[in-house]
Amino acid sequence: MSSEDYIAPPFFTIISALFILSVATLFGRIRDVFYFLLNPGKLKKQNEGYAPIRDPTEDFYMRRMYGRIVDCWNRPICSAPDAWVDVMERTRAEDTTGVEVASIVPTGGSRRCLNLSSYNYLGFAASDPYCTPRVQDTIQQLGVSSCSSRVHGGTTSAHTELEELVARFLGVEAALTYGMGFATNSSTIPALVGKGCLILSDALNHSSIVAGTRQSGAKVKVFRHNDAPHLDALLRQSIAEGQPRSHRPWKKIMVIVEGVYSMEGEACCLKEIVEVAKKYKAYIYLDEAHSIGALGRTGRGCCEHWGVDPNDIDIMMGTFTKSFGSCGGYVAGKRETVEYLRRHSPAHLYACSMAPGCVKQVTSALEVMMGLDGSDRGAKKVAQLHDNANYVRSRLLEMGMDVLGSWDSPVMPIMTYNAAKMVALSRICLERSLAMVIVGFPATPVLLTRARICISAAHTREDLDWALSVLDEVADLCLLRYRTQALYTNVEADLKDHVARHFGPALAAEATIAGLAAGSFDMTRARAALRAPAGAKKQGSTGGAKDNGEQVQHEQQPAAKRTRTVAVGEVAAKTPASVSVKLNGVTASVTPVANGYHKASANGTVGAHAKAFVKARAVVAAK
Amino acid sequence: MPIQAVSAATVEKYGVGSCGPRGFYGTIDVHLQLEAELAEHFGTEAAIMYSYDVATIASIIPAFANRKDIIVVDEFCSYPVQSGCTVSRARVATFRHNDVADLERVIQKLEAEEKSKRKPLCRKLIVVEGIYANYGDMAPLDRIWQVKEKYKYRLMVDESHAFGVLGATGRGACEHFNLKPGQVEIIAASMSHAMGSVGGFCVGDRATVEHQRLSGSGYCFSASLPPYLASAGIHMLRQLRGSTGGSGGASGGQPEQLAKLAAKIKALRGELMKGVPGLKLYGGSLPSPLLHLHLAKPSGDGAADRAVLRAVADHMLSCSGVLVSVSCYSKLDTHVPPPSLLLHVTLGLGDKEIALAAAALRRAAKEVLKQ
Repeated sequence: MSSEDYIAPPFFTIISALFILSVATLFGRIRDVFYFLLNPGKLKKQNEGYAPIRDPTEDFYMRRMYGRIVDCWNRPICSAPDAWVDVMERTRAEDTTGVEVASIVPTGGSRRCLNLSSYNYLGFAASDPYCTPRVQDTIQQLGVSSCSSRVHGGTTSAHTELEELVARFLGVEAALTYGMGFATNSSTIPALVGKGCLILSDALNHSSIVAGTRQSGAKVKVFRHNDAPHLDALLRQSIAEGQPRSHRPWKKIMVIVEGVYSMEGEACCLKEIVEVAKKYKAYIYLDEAHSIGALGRTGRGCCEHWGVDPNDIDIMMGTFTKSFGSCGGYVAGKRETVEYLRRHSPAHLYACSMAPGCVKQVTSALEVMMGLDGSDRGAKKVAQLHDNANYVRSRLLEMGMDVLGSWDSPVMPIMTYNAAKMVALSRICLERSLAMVIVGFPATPVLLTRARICISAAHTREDLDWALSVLDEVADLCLLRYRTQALYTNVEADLKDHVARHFGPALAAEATIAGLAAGSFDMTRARAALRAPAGAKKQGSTGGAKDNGEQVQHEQQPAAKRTRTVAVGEVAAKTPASVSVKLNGVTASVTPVANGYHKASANGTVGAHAKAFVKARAVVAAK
Repeated sequence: MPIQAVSAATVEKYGVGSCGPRGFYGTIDVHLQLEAELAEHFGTEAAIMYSYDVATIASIIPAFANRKDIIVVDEFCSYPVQSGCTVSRARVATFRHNDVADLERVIQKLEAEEKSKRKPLCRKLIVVEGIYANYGDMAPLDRIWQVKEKYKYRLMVDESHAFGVLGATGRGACEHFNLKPGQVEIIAASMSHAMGSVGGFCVGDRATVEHQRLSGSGYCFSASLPPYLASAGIHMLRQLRGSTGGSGGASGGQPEQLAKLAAKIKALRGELMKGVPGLKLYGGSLPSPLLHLHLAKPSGDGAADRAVLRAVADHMLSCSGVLVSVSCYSKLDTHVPPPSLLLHVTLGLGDKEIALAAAALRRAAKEVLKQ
């Protein structure tokens, strides 16, 4: 269940939000009518036989609504996006009439703000004593850009080094890197699934996944956000029905979920989803854009957070933009899958390869995270991030704000429900030197507008205390203390569950949000206590309790051994052969036509396409 | 200051990544500066940057076309254009490669259909590439522009390979065909070719660009370009503009660097046009820096042809130390071009190197293709 199910804006809030929107629309319309009555020439000039670039409704929204609050987004900065950031001041350009989109220009000044907006989860965004010199050396040696695609001489030693390290970090066989996170999704998904395949996508999946699924030509069905039972029902029904019209069995079924949802701050309930996907033998594509580096005791993402074996996930995708302070993304998984993508993924074939400097930044950040730099900075960073995030989350909840999301997740949306409150919050916070992101319609439903905080390991406790004191004041000014009881109770139950899973059931009893906020219950101490006894076991996780020990173990464990340690006992080692059985198994279990169909088409191109997913080399050789 | 030093200094100040999309505090002053300078160079009202070259045109097309709209696109367009068309879900019609008469025929057919069904006016777009990535030849933009004006279509040109190469001030194929800034509505290009950085950009009038800031999915939903790559882009753009004496239009003749590059392109193309056994150069003596050499007698089996070309490329590398690549296409391409040997002309090549490359190619072709 998602925490969004527990929130409900009060009746008065709904009325006021809708009232404000209607008034703004009405005034905009009146102004438009008068403007075009008074300037008939302007309207005519725009047409000239061409359809307008924007459709009229969208255009109206942009000019008269978005134009009023345009200063809340695209705020330029003039420093590294570290814990503190210099936000440039802007002013409206004079020629803004409301007929064109408002334009605001920097004045030249800037304001030092606490950065609660950048995805700098682990604090690698700013100059780092370990990473920066290495990046600079790499730029010196390999140049600024390779200016060609990976297959045409854009692959440098840095790229192969990174791909090996990513695979090692994630505990999978191989990885492939791209220069942009968005393109990673939008070019990998169409390469993996195509016509005749089914994609089951979470309702709140990122736009890049949507772009990828659209390009793929596969049938897309959307299941309710983080709702494994709904996924189960949908999968069962889809398999029973088969492809639309022809009712043939699906060639491939892929479930696409994200590790942490960027606008909800919520960790995907991976364990349940993996169980469902396994039950129906569907592939899982996990987008760890926000969770890699941020979740899990050593920052290995959603799998580590829930104690799921990474080898149960067929395709692990993630980005380097967030935690690792660079750019680009990766796809990791079975060697066959990755080799197949190397041959067919458009971003690998046509796009300029990732800039060597960015590559080195990720490599060195990963080295820090894995303790390969010879220090325990990486482990400390993750612990600090979780402490910061949980502290701020508990304090905000105690203040009576409606905060969504999971524990340990660095992303926390503060619900404002009302677009006007959201804008006020953003402006007042900036005035008080707090840089925060707000999100409204059309990115969210009209009544679920929100402000979003991203916590970083670079924030100190003083920074956060100061920010919380500011937010405490602003909450009163913007009337943000909704105190939704159902949400609070649910989040507290989540906390107990979280502590029970990570620190043992003994501590769960004393874990309360109030205690966490007041400092009487402290996860840091709990962790220290946990670390002390050497034999202590972490539930459902892959290794022992010692930070360094665990990392080493994690890396050196052979794949076969690792599958055995998984909590869900029924996993068989997935060799390519068994995967292809799985592929046929989906169909075989549903309809008797299935086997015949697959055999008949096995030699054709369609069959080759279906097999391609597991037998990359066959297709590479054939094409 | 060399470009590496500029980049290293930017890394020191801004770190590597920008850690956020442009909308959410990921806009850094260098991004604004690069956009302003690009707009100034192209003589347009505004410019917008994307953080990846293939995502550039693939997100611009869906921003300007949806289900109701029409896109007419050259059949040989590269994958990013194709994927942009697919994502947009618009009605896509293709015309024969570089055939303006066919373009007009396709448009007439579409117009007649629209009229008979009495559909409301929709956005119409022609998409071509200045220099086609998959073939290395140029679109006849002057004639396409006339057709576009006649039927009131918007023209989108992907200048990725032409920017910094063609035109008096290096603005690309549009300038090469004497189209003034603003005559072509949407110009997109990659920054990873001539600009030696990473990413892409689009220039146009203010409405076009501002529209993308809310509708370009690759702009809204992706982290912005690392600042050091933006500053490298600024550095390169200044070099280009410095060598052309500012952006003052097509007044001062071919500037030095562009002229040098044009001469090198001409030299290599001329060398190869003298004949390479078993291979033929696509496009002849066009001023395009991208050379595709196809097999003169293709066997019809793409994989086998590709293996032969691979052998030629390997031979060139191992016997003469010349690195060339063999084109490689994804199965997702709707139109897969024939396999080709891919050569790029750069400013760094001297006369000696060009002669060496041509000799190596000839030798390799002779030895490999004879077998």
